[in-house]
Amino acid sequence: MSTFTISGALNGQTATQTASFTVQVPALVGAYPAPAGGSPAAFETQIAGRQLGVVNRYEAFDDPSWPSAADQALMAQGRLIHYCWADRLKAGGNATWTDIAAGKHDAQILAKARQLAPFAKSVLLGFDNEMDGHVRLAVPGNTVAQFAPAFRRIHSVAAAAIGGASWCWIPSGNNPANQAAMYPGDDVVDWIGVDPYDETLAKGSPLATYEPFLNWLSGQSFGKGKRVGIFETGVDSNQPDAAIAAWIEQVPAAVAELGYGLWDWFNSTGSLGNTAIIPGSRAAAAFAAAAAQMGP
Amino acid sequence: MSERRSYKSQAFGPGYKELELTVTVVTTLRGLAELSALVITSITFDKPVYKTGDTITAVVAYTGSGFTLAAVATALGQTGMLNGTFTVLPDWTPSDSGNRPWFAVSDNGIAAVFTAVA
Repeated sequence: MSTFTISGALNGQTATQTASFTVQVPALVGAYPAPAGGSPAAFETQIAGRQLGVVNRYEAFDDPSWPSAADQALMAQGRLIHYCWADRLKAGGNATWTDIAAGKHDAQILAKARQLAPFAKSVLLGFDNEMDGHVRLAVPGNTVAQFAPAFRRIHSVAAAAIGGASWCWIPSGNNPANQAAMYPGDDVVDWIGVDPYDETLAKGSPLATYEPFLNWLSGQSFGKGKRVGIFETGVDSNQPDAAIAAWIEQVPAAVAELGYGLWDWFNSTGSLGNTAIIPGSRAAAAFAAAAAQMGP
Repeated sequence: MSERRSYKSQAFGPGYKELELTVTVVTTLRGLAELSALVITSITFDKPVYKTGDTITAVVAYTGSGFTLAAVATALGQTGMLNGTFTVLPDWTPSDSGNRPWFAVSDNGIAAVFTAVA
């Protein structure tokens, strides 16, 4: 949603009025591509039937190995990488939000920013996605009140070094009471994202799954005019193949109707649930058909 | 606003005395209505949703730019009046939250039209 503002001056008096309009940008199509061979190339070949616009990565706070050479190649070929920059430390433990906000990790933040700088325009940078959930908040030193200061601290240290990257704030969407208090501010956020799933198909459709977050967001005082994206989504692969396929077929229309600018499938058999699409399935065919209707 | 002008006429001819006639015309210009405030009454777009690259057309309807001016002239004890209308166009500044450049297309005194590229 964009806001048009018109100001007129006449005879020493001024009048101003605003009105909203919508520019529908074709949604980027992305995925966390495990486990179909574990690589984006395999996912693109076996599931998406096309090059992904976005590839998801989940990286440790202090791990110097990212962006990897493989990621750099993906970016060079035109993909964006969405890095969920987590507070977990490579050797164990966490860079807690309290410590980050206090400046105790500034050197690590700046080092990572300098690493990302050459690829900045291909980077969607989130920090501790799903910060509103119990997993993140279970870490001692992570509190609802400390998240926004930590995000702002990271931005203040890194933004100058990594100019051109897009900063993403991505709650789970499941904890409205926490979410608002954890928003770091319009001045440090480019994308507002959410991770809505319909694991058991109980929600019934992509529209029903994706609309509640936007309803919540529209009631907030922040985020107006920000791009909104679905940075993780999925259906449990134990659901009937035909039902998953039917659900995915509805995605392009739902995403377009709601105005999401990114749709990103979490294709994983991991401990958080099995949302991996089986190559050769009807769901895979539906995914390819949906992806073909959407943007880059 | 008033203006006073004098016109001197001279007529000559055989058998006539010189006649000098001075006519003073007093013309008063006055606005018949108070200047009204600029009021933007509506903004409408030509489509509900745009795709990237589409032309966005916004029509801004407004009031307050039209004025009526009366010229009242008095001469030789008689008064005549003529009304005329004119329009003063506002100075517009359009913008949007996406920082698109907006261009003025037209303005007829009651509606101004602007365009941008989505």
